[in-house]
Formats: sequence, C-alpha cells, structure tokens
Amino acid sequence: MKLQRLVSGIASSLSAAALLTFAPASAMAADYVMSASADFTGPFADVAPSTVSGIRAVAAWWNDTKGKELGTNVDIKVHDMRYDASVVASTWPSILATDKPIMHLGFGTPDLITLMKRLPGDKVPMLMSTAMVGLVWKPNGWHFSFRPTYSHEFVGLLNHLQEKKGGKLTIGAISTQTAAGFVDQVKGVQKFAETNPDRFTVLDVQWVDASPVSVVNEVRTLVRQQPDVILVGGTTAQVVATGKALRELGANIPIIMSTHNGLTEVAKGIDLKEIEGSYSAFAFAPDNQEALPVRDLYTKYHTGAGNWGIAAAQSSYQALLALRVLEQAIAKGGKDAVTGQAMYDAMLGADYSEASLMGSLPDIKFDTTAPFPVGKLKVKAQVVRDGKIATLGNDWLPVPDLPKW
Amino acid sequence: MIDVLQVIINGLLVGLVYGLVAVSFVVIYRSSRIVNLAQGEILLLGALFIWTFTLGMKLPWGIGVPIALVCCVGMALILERALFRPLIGESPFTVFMASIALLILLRGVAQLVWGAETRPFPQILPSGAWSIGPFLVTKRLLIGAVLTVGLVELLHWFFMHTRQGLRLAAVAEDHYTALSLGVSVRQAVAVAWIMGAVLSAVGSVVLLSDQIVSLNAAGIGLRALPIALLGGMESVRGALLAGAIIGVGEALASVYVDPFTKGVSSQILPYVIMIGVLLLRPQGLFGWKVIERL
Amino acid sequence: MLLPTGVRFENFATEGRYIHTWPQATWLAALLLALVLVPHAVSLYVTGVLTVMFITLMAVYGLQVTVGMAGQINVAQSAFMGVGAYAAARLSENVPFWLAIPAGGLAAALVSIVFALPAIRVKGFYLALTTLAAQVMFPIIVLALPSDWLGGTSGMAVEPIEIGGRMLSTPLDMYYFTLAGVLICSVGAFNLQRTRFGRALCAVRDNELAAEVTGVNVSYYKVMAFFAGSLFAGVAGGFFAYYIRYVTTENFNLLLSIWYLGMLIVGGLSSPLGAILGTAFITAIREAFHALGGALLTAFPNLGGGLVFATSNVILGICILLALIFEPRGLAHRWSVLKAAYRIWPFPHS
Repeated sequence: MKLQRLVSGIASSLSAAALLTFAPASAMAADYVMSASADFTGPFADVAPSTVSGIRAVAAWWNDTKGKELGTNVDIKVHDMRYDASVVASTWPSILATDKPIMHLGFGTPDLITLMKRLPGDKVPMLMSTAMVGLVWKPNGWHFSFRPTYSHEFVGLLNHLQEKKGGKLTIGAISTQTAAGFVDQVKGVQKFAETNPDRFTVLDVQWVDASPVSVVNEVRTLVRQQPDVILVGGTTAQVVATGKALRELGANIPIIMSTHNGLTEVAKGIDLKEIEGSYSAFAFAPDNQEALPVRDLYTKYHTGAGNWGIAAAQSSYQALLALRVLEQAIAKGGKDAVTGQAMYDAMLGADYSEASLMGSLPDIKFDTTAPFPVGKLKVKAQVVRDGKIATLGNDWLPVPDLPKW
Repeated sequence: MIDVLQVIINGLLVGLVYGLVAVSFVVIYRSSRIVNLAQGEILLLGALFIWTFTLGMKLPWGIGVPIALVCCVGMALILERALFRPLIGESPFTVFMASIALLILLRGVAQLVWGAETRPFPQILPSGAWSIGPFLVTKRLLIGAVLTVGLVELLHWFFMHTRQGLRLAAVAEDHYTALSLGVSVRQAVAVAWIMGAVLSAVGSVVLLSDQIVSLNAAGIGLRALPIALLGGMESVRGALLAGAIIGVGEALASVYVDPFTKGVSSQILPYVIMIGVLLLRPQGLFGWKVIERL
Repeated sequence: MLLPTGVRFENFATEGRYIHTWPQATWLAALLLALVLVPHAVSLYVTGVLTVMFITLMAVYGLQVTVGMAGQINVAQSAFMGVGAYAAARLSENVPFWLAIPAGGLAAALVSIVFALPAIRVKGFYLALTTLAAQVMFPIIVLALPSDWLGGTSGMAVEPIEIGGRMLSTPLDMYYFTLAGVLICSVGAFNLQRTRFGRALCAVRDNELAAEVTGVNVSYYKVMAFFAGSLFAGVAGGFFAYYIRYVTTENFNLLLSIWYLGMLIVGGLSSPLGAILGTAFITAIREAFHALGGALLTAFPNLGGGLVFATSNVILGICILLALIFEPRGLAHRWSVLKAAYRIWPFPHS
C-alpha cells in the first residue's frame, strides 16, 4: 500500500515535470542570440546567480546603448548544464537547433571538453571566463578565454616580484594530484623557470590532499629550502593549511594563489593578517579596484539575484568582450549578416584595446595558435596589506613569454 | 636523522587523529555489526553543528560544543531508529548498501541545510606548535593524540570489563544469537550509534580546530576506513596502532618516495595496505578471526 | 513465478525461453519499435538523456551480474567504466570502433581481476572495501601516468565514429548507435542467466558452501563474476567515450558508482529486468526533479542554487533506503507481482 501511494505520487510529479520540460520557452524577439552555460542545480550552483547576473547586466547595458545605436538586440539564453559533460553533450544539439547562437558563453571544464571538438564543425565560437590549462592549448580551436593559463597568470606576478627583488626568485609549490588542472599549473611554472634559470628556480613541489589535515611536514620541507614565495594554486583548504603551517613554523613567506582559492575565499577560514603580504594573481581587473566602469554599469543595470564580486566581475568582462566582438562583426559585414563564422573572424581579425574594454581587461588579441590571447599578456594582482585585500598597484603587470609545456 | 624523526613524529600525530575517526567506525561495528560508511558525513555534520552553536550563534565554545554534542546524539538516534532498526538481522549486504545510501543522503542534507560555502571552525584546541628539543610539535595534534589514546583506553575497558560492553560484543557477534540470549539488540544499536556520533564530533574538533570546514571534510571517513581495517574491525586498540602505522607510513612516503612517483605513493599507500591486509590477513592485526567449519 | 495460462513445456529448451506466448512476442516487438521511433517524437535533449541512460544501463547490467547474480559487492563500477573509456579512447586513434569498444571492455575486465582476487579470501563488505579502494585509486593513478600513455592530466580526445564513410555526429546517430549497443548487451545479460556460467554464479551467491561441495569452483567463479561484470562496464565506458568525445577522470567517480548501485537496488537485484527498471526509474526521477528544480529557481530566484543539487542527492538516498527497507526485491519483484495479479484475475493474488 505504502509503495503504491509512493508510486502514484511520483507519477503525478513526473507528468507535471514532463509538461514543464516540453513546454515551449518564452522567447523574446531578438536579432541575435548568445547562449550561456550555467550551473543552477549542480556543484557550483551558489556562484551561478552572480555569474549570470553579470552577463545579463552587461547585455542589458549594451542593448540600451550601443545596441540601440546599431539597431541590434542581443538576447542571452542561459542553459543549466549542471557542470556535467553528458548534460552539455545532450543539450548542445538543441541549443544549436533552437537558439542558433552566434556565440556561446561557457562556464567551466565540462563545456570545454565536450564542445572543444564540436565547435569547429558547428561553427559557433565559445568564450570562457576561466583560466585555461595547458591541456587545452591546442591550435585551430573555436574555444577561447580572455584569460591565459593559470601558469601564465602566476608567471606574470612572479616576473614582477623578481624585478622588484633583483637576483634570483626562489619558488616553492604546494599542489594536489586530485585534479588534472592543478598538476598542470605547476608544470607550466616549472617550464618557465627552466627557460629563465638565472632569474627563477622552482625549488620543490609538495603534494598534499585536497583537504589536508596538516601540511606542516610539507611546508617545513619547503621552508628549509628558503623560497621567496610559495605557490598554492589548488583548493582554499590548502591555502589555509599552508598559512597556518607557516605561522606555526614562524616563517613569513608570501603565498601566491589564484581566483577560485583566492583571498576572498581564504578570508573565510583564516585571518588575513596571518598571511600578510600574500598575493592573488589573475588576468583581469580585480572586482574591488577603485575605478572600474564595468562595476558602475553593473550596479545600474543589475536586476534579480546575485551580487558584485569576483564571479560577477569575470562574467561581466566575458560578456563585454563578446559584445565588442559583435560590434566588430557588424562593422565588417553589416548588422544583418552576423553568424558564428563572422564572430570567429572578428574575434581573430581585430585587436581589442583596454580602452574599449573599459579597463577590465588588458589589450586582447587572439589568433589560431592558442585558445587564449596572444601577444603581450598582462595580469593584475591583489595583495594583503594590513590585514585587508588591496590591489597591487594600478598598472598591468606584463607576462614574459612562456613556451608550451 | 632529526629530519626523519620529525617526519615520523608528525606522521604519528596525524595518524593518531585518523585513528580517532577509525575508532568511531570500530565502535559502531563492535557494538552492532553495522559498518557505517557514512562516518565521514557524520563527522561533517558534527563539525557543522559545532559551528552553528559556536560561531553561528556566537556562543562560547564551552556552551556551544556540549549543545552540539547533544544534537549529534539526537541525530544518531534518529538515524538508528529510522534506518537501522528495521534492518536488524538483515544480510551484511543490505546494511552496507544502507550505509552507502546514508552517505549520499547526509551529504545532500549537509548541503541543503548549511550550504556549500566554506566556514571557519572555532578554535577549541590551542593553535601553534611547541618546540620540544629540535622537534616541532603541533599543539592541536598532540592534544588530539593524547585525547585519542585516553578515549581508546576508556573504550577498551568499557568493552572488555563492563557488563554492558560485553553485551555489545555479543550483539556484534550475531544479532539472532544475542536476541535469543536476552540481550536487547535495539539498545545495543542505539548505544553504538551514540558512541559513534560523539567520537566523530570529538574527532572533528581535533581535525578542524582553527581550520576551515567545508563539505570536503567528509572525505576523512574514507581515508580512515583502511586504518580501521588494518587494525581489525572489532578492535579499538588496533585502530590506534593501525592509525600510527599508516600515519607514519604516509609521512615517510610523502617525503622520500613521492618525488619519484609524482606524489602518488603517499595517497594510495593506505589503500594498497588495505588490499594487502585483505589478501593476507583479513581480520586485521587484532580483529576477531571467524573460523568457518564445514 | 506464475506463467500465463496454457503454457506448458515438452522439453527443456522450450522451458528456458523468455517469450512463451504470442502476446509476449508482440509486446516485445512493440517495445523495440517504440525505442526506434521515439527520437522522432521527442526533443533533442530527451534523445540525449535516453542515450546516456542506455550507456548507464550497460554499466548497471554489469553490476547486476557481479552483485545480483554472484552476490559480490562492487562499488567500483564507475572506475571500471573509466578504464574501458580510456582504453577505447587510446585505441580509437588507430583502430575502428567495433574493435576499440570490445577492447575497452576487455581491458576493464582484466583490471577488475586484480581487485577481485581478495574475493577468494574475504566476503561481504570486506570485498566492497577492496572495490572502494579501486574506485579511489583510479583517478590518482591515471592522472599520474605519463602523458603519452593515457593523456595524463589532460584527458584524451576521441575521434568520432565512421560507419561506411558516414560520420556519426548528430544526436540521432548517437542514439541509434547506443541503442544497438544496449540491445546487444541486453541479449548478453538476459542469456547469461541461462548458461552454465550464470547458474554457477547464482549458486555461489545462494550458498557458497553448498556450491563448493557440489563441485562449483567458488574462487574461480567469484573472480569471473567480476570479469563479466566489468566487461559490461568497459563496453559502457567505450560508448561513453565515443558519445562525449573526450575522457577525463572526473566523469568516473565514487558518486556515480553509488548511483549505479542505487539504480540496481531500486530496480531489483535478481534479474536484468531489475537493471532496466531501476535505471529508467532513477533517470526519470532525476530529470523530472531537475526540470522541477529549474522551474522553481526561475520562479523564486532567491532560493539558492545548491538546493536542487543537494536535494537530488537526498532523494536518491531516500529512494535506496526505502527500497532496502520496504521492498528489498525491488521494482522487478513488484512487476512480477503485477503480472501475476493480472494473470489470475479475478482471483486475488495471495
């Protein structure tokens, strides 16, 4: 009896859900569609509202200003991919058929690995806001990110620090084997040190768990070798554990981290005063930079859930770049002739200056050799000063050349 | 020389903390013959309860922790009543699957109620390290280790020398036989879960004091499982010794072998040992050997 | 098991059949026709969901062999699927798919033998722990291997399939390809029960001692149970590799192994029909829930996204526990009760 009631309950909810699934989505009449992946019901669901809000705010601003000028409207269609490659693979064909997007705004690794091989055939370029890893550094792709690899971002900061210090900069690293990208980060930095042996050395790499109990052993092995900085590109827990271990050992070595395990996240678990002088490096303007026009327009056009932070910043810059590419495509071929191919050509065919991107990104130039900007890459950083997160200077830090590893 | 000893000391301390988590496995098995794979999640929930009643509600930890412990006990009793009481006497496979289902369930509940963000854990044990001679000893881990040894001795005395403890041992051997002899299996299972939950909560304090707590903390459960197995699933002291062995082994491997194996050896060492134990001596170091006769 | 009226057997061969009457044959043909026609009637997304469901079903068939027929607990089915996927991906560069996928299956089966060896000495949950170790070690080892072996930390891309000069790239193509694969696996799974091998596995599950005494080599069949089960898993992995066209270790984790076990338990351990029912049921619930959750979130955007993901885990856990407590024989048992009630209607089913 109980079972039958259970079954009928499930059946009725199933039919309700079926109706919802097959109900036609309400569509705004728009000239062009950009599709976007998000994760509303998967593991990264708490960032999704802010991320999506960034894209929508920038699109709304553009439609209101430049779009009106050009007589174009862009509609953003967000799809829940649940951060799962098989959902991306299942949803992509219907996106192509129904949305007919001119560009896809990707969210994370599942988008990348599933669509990497399909985009050249489907002729829709994809723009991501996450840092790339060496594993996708392949030529002739249609997938791009405005950020270079994590290794490039670290190297930009390391270069700046070495120039300030003079002499050789010694680097220690703590990473984990549990995710491919984390191992890849370290490999890139090691390659860089090999090609500049008189300025940089990677002393040692210590491997720990993603959520370690204690890394005192590993940190002591590093500290013994006297590194100038310690690179921790993995998880927030690793950064916190490293910070505490350093304090226990009485060593005051700055830690370098990225965005996903960055200072805002780490501040939740450790008092920032304890990692005074530590850095977070990335290739876009920090969300708490003083003068940031993108933040102003976000505040003006933002509706719904989500708020300004690193996630919204990244996606706002992503949308802004995509829309500037659209402007280029319209300039070249007219406002009625924009296709995925036209967007791809515009992306590779033009340079996007820092000014046109309102200071959020450095000058961006793409070509067919890599899925991230080539030419003079630049990064910015945040640093802990007096227990607070401050921006490291106002200028972009150049990234020296980094050969493929 | 000093380096090696330092590595061994650190490995010993970390291993003993893992041993504490392993003991919670053993206690539940020793009392009711239930293998609870969801022990990591119970530890996570214990940690989240402690967070709620200390930092979440801004109470001092002297008040917050006991309240959290009471909540843990309550949760354990609910789980026992709703899930494991109906499964008394069922095959080990059913109980195993139930604990796996519990693992997913608790993981979902933790995310549902507390969200996925990382939180700081209150500092209950002193942080920093003592300098003992040329060696550096993390305060939190040393206190945790001493606590663990004390608790284990207490449990050992309980199981071997008290009436209640012996009754629990009977239930661990066979539910039906114990029932037929007048031992209340229900009560044994309840007691087992209460002890397991409390031990998990204590374990979470030692592990996470002054660190951060995120949903990943549950992973400690699966890492402690090989230790419970090596020591013997029925032996409390065995879990401790096994924790020491595996902790030291992991530390040595991470310093001396990992550079050649890209960091793999220290992470798979516990599991390789576990498989070795299962192949060579399935009852572990001190577990009960079940002899089947034709 | 209640047979339809009028069915009687004159020799052993006819008794072993699955289809005894004309109506049964007609229903089966109708089901096959429906499977072939369904992608034309539903959206591309649902076609994709069905394709993934078929792949999952292949893995769950394997689980049914190891866990259901032979009684050996296996928590590493996703890892073995990963082994098959990586092997197929590696071979796909040089070898056509109809060799790469079975080779993937074989690779997975051979790897599983290593973790099956403790089955000779230990039982029950101890064995589950070995497979747990396998599942946990799988990503660590694969990521640490040199890049030219298995793509190391990058993962590997897989070339699309070509049949007779035509490349399979649309969702419909992949659906039919996977449908063909799952039908072949179904034939294998259903027939395995009727062979000597299958009967030996069931004997090992029911009473090891009696099996040993009657001459069934228990150790050998325990290991072979893993071999057979992982063969299915490896094949499923091969299909998965060709579907997504990229393999990384993140698609083969412990949570997925647990979902597969859950599907089998909810569906019923003792027959491949249980695998089918369980997979279909859990997939339907999961998709319905995500659709509902998505609709809820657009209506109330302040609910917080992690809600749906967490609740789907909670629901799966609850489903498994309900199945274990109230209906340990699963949906397959309920189905046979339904059939029996239908057959002896209007008499009450006892």
